[in-house]
Amino acid sequence: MNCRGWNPHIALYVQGDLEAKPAMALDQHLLVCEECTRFLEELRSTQCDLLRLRNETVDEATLSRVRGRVLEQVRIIERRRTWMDRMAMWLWGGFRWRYAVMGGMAAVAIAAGSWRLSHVQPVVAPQAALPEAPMAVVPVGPVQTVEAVAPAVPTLRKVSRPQKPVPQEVQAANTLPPPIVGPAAAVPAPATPAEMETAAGKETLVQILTEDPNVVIYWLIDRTGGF
Amino acid sequence: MSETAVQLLMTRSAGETNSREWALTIEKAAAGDVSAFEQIMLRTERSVLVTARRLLGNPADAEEAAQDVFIRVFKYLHRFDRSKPFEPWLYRLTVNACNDIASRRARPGEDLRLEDHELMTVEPTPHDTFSADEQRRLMQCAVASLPQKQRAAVVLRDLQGLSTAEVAQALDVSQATVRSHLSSARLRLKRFIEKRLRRKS
Repeated sequence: MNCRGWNPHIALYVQGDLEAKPAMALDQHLLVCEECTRFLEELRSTQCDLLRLRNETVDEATLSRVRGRVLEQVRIIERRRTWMDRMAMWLWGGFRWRYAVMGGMAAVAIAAGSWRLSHVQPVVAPQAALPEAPMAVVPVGPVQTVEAVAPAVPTLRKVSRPQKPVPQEVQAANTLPPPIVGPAAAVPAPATPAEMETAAGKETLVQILTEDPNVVIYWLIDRTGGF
Repeated sequence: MSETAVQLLMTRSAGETNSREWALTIEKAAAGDVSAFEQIMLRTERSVLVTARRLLGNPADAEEAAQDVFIRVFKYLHRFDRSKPFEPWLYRLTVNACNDIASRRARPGEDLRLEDHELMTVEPTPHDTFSADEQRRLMQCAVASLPQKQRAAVVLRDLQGLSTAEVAQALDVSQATVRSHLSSARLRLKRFIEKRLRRKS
């Protein structure tokens, strides 16, 4: 670095604003460089003149004049302040309060959100519930047909949706009254034990129609009445 | 315990009490207490007015700036972060108020720099050297000739005696920027003075 390069460092060094490491390097340089030492002395002299300005004072009359004007305006501002302004000042009067208010609001929001999540039951999607509940039972047996009992679905909600038409081939295969398609409310009443007893001992094929016309479930019931 | 240690402890506890009282005064003023605000004003008005005068170079403008500063203090004291020192915040308001006034004055036709104005009053004397008063005025002109940011850095660091960190806080810049402003400003001041002295001789 040439001597010109040291000048900005010397300008800081003169008032002790230079950091320790460059200050040490400058110390070393000043030991060998006369030009920079002279520059430092000149800067010191200028700084001395500058620091003399610290002694400047302001007369009391000026101060009291300014104070009077400020207090006059301050009283006007104070009179104009509404209760809303005061409330805002009280709430926002310091960062500790601000953070406390923000933290409290966040806690309330989190509590409200978690309460809502825990108290609202999720809506059961009808499509998801239907495969477990057969929509219709169409017994088609070579010898004897039995009305199968569809499992009761007491918790199933009433959902209005368009009913899908029953495929023609399924209708044609029906020897009994038309199959029941629709929600569980339309499922026929369960068969009595007597009817079940008469059907025992003969093979029975049970066809179950689901809402999807492409899915048909067949159950073959043996002579003992088990599946 | 030695007498010196007792004195030291007493001084320290007095300082703590003062700072606690000062914090309480600020708290009251922030809540809208006019008498607490007046106490703050009595304690700080001198430094605010002197700083404004040094930054603007014009007593009338400085009075206006000081007035603005204290009205802003009263309005926005509740927003001041009380975990931080009060002085840098006050100086920040002062610098901002002075910048506002300086930019208002900078309109065409109204531009009268202290440098030109004051130098008209610095008449050459038959003596080779400047008198103390002339030297003071020359230095005022030199400070006024600095660019706004450099002037603010020099005034706060060298004339108001703030640390580099406090100046950085007051000007809302990094400490490296403050050092850069200080370095450039001091070199400029030196050049300005040398030029005037050469011209006079």
